[in-house]
Amino acid sequence: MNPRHPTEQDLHAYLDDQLDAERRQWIESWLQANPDQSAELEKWRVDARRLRARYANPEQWPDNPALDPAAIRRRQRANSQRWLATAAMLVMAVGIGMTGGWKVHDMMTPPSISAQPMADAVQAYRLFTDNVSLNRNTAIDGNGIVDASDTAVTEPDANSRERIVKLFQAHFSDGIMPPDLSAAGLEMTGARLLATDQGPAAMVVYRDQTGRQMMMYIRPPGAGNHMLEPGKRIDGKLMAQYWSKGNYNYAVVSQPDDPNAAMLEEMLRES
Amino acid sequence: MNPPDDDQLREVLPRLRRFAVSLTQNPSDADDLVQSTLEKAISHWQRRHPDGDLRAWLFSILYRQFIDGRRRAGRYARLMQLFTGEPQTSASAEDIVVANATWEAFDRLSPEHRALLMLVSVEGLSYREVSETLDIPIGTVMSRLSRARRSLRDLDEGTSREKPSTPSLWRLK
Repeated sequence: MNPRHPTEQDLHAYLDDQLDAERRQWIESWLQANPDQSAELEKWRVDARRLRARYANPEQWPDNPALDPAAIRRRQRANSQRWLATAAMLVMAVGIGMTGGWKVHDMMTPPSISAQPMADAVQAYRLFTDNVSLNRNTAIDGNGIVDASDTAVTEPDANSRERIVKLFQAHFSDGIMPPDLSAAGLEMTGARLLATDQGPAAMVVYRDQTGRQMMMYIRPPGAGNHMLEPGKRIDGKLMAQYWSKGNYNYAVVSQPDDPNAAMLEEMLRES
Repeated sequence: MNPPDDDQLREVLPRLRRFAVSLTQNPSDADDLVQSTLEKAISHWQRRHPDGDLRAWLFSILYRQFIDGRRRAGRYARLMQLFTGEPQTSASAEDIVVANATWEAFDRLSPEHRALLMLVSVEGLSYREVSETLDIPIGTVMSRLSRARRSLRDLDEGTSREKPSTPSLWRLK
């Protein structure tokens, strides 16, 4: 049963059409008997109409192409590739550490770079920043990186994992497979095969549900079969943890505070 | 879950821009807000409730971004005040002119009241949806709505003709 007077909130709910039929009817009759309140409510109704008029037809506002979802997606992809590029530079620095005599204790200082490893790093950088090279098969001559025909960054799709596994079986048969972390909400979103002077290397990218990325890197040891002391290197917003096992050197590159990186590192080291 | 459908997002875009303008009161700040909202929506798509209303979800992201930005701006203003000894919250002459050219009473409402009136009166969201969008209890939606409409009436009828010492107009930087 309704009380004798509607509350003010009832009147707003009536105005906003949030009441069931019975309650609406009750308020209608009450308003007819109470012209003062009815006039007050009418003013609110006019205000609402005025507000609607003021903000009418936003679809006719001048277009802003920067807000188109496709444009936003493009920018996000570009940012993601910049991330990959930085990651590539970082692992290359790890690689240089192996070949150039750079010592682990010098973690915060870039290694002294000889001409050859620098070409290596620059070409890796190009691989990850040059859109053309992402979309067609690119071969880079010389001492650096070769992006062979089957090694374009894979798009995230159902076949991703299968393709990455095949790639590892073909090139790193005695190496550690990138683990499946989907149970932890991490998706393998891409892989890239690289060639170094000592043989093939690869990067595998994982992405968590918030879009945060980390990367596993595998490469043969440097010249003279130089194995790597376990270590860590922080470069700006990225951290590389690296070690040697079996016939390969490994690195996990992530944001320094990414808890998933420790999990990945542990899984790889215990495999 | 499927990735966001760009056409779905495009359809909501004008409404997002409108909501953003009502909050920031400045078209360029509003578009910045919409852009960061869409970026967040695209990268957080998997967190979206599959049956939820896309528009309400986007509004809630936009409002959260706006409130966070305002908190940051507030912290910055307090910091500046500490250094300069002057409050940084006064609205510029340009802001006042813009406001007068439109509907001063509405623009002088608090952002919380403006958001509520936009969602209820312009977007036609249910109180339940508004409660979820603004992340406040439904009882608060109703009591705040009463206060917002009364404030708007008071301001419009000039009962508060005196300018408040700290104008409610401000711009999100």
